[in-house]
Amino acid sequence: MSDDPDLLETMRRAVTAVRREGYKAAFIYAILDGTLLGLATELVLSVARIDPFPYPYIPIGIALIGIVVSFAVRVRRPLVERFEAVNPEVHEALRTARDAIDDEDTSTMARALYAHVIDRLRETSSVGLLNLSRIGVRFVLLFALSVAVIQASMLGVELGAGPSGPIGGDGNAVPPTGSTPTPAGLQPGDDVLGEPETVTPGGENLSATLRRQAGQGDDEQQREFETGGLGDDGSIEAERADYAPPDDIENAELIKEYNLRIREETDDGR
Amino acid sequence: MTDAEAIDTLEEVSDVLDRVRTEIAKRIVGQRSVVDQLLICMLADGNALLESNPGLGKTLLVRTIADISELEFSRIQNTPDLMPSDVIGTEIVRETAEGQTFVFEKGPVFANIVLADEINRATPKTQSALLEAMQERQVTAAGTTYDLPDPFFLLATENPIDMEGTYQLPEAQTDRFMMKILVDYPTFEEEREIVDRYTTTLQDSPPVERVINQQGLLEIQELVRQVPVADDLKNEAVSLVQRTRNHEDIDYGASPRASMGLVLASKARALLEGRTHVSKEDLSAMAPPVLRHRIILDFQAEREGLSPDDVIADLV
Repeated sequence: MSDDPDLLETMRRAVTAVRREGYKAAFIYAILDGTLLGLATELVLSVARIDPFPYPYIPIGIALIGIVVSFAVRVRRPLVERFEAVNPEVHEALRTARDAIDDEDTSTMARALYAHVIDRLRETSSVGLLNLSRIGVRFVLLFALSVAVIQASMLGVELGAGPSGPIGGDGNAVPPTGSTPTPAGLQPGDDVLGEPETVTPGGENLSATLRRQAGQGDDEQQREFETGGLGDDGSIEAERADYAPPDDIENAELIKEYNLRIREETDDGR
Repeated sequence: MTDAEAIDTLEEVSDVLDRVRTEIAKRIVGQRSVVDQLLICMLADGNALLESNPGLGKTLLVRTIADISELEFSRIQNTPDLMPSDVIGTEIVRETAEGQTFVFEKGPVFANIVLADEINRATPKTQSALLEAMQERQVTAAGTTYDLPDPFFLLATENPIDMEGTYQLPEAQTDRFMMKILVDYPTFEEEREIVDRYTTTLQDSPPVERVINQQGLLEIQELVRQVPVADDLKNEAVSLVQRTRNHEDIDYGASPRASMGLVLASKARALLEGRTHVSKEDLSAMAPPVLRHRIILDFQAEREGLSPDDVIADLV
């Protein structure tokens, strides 16, 4: 019996490669888990109106922590055993070979076992380490969270806040349930004007004559009022109402002419 | 030995074992399980106890195994008047040139394959004479110890019926048999084939070829010892044997010798099946023949009609 360790070393490398496949699978899961966690954090911050400033990288940090934790938890599970579980055709042989490696077994039968396992490992696959349904669920969640984050960022989603403020909202209000949100924060017309209803047309005809007549004052004259308010003692002092002093020449002439006519009529009447 | 030579060796062993099975099948119709268990016992360098009703070919099977190997074969027909010296040999006075000297005349136990037919008909004294041979592979006569040839197999047969005038084997002796192999009746087709094969010529049995020699068998036995076993399977084997000591239906459980026998038999089975490692299936398959004669059921279990195999199946 030879002590040539070539096949033993090859077997060791094969087991290492199998373990590496386990690391890869764990990393894929960790990336997905971390991304989900980061997106969920971003969504929570957006919905809760928490400005992460001065820590704008909080979601990224949480995503990284999630990746590390998920990876650490997964690689704590025996990786080679998981590989054996998803490749039952090589399960017992690989398990036995691992124990034989630990025992530094280089007997004829152990060598035959190593050769057998290495040959069979070429026919195995590590795809089974990835549970496609679980990965699919993660991708669906990723998509849903991504859409939710975009929605929250563009339209503004706030927990517990209803429509408020002036008509048309302030641009941040959540549209009423059942209504269709409109771009740029405008509210639907029906919500503002109420439900449309049919109006009965009128049957009565009325004639109206409009005559334009100029008023006695100038619309544009400025009036000043005492607006001192109440005194300190709460008493109110009487003030005489007054017109602004005539400053329009046209009005003065008109009053003068009017006074002269009155006098003439008075003189004639005497 | 290089890696390629190791694989070639394994393939050669598989080829030899296949030829052994083929040659045995020329004489033994069916009974594949029995043949395999007997071969496993030989590859594991153990002794076997075959139990069946008369006429099922136990003696023919053992004789056939001797015929296909270049092993020395002897047969001991056990009877109540058989003496230990009839088995192991005795010193006799022989006339030589120097005068009369005591010379040890070897008994039939000095052979590679010893068939102890109907061993339960020998007296306990004679049965115990086989104890040392079975375990130590040596016999002691007149204060001198003699080694038995290597390899050495004691293949004993016993008849479960017609118990009058028999002496049940003591537990110490049954424990030294690696396996107790039960030979069952053949099926209709097998029995029809037996009739055709043995009633058309005057020959006692069809001829067979020798396909393995003494050295080849020893090398295979060495390979059997090298078959790797996973640690958890070893633990499972030991745990199974230990559970026989605590089972409610068992009065006396199996000894540590059973643990060794179970692992060794599993290794031999793996090699016989052409595998390079022991599987859980090997343990399950070897548990009944290795354990059934090493446990004693309690009265309650026997009254309920349970057999050792039923309890072992429950344990496995």
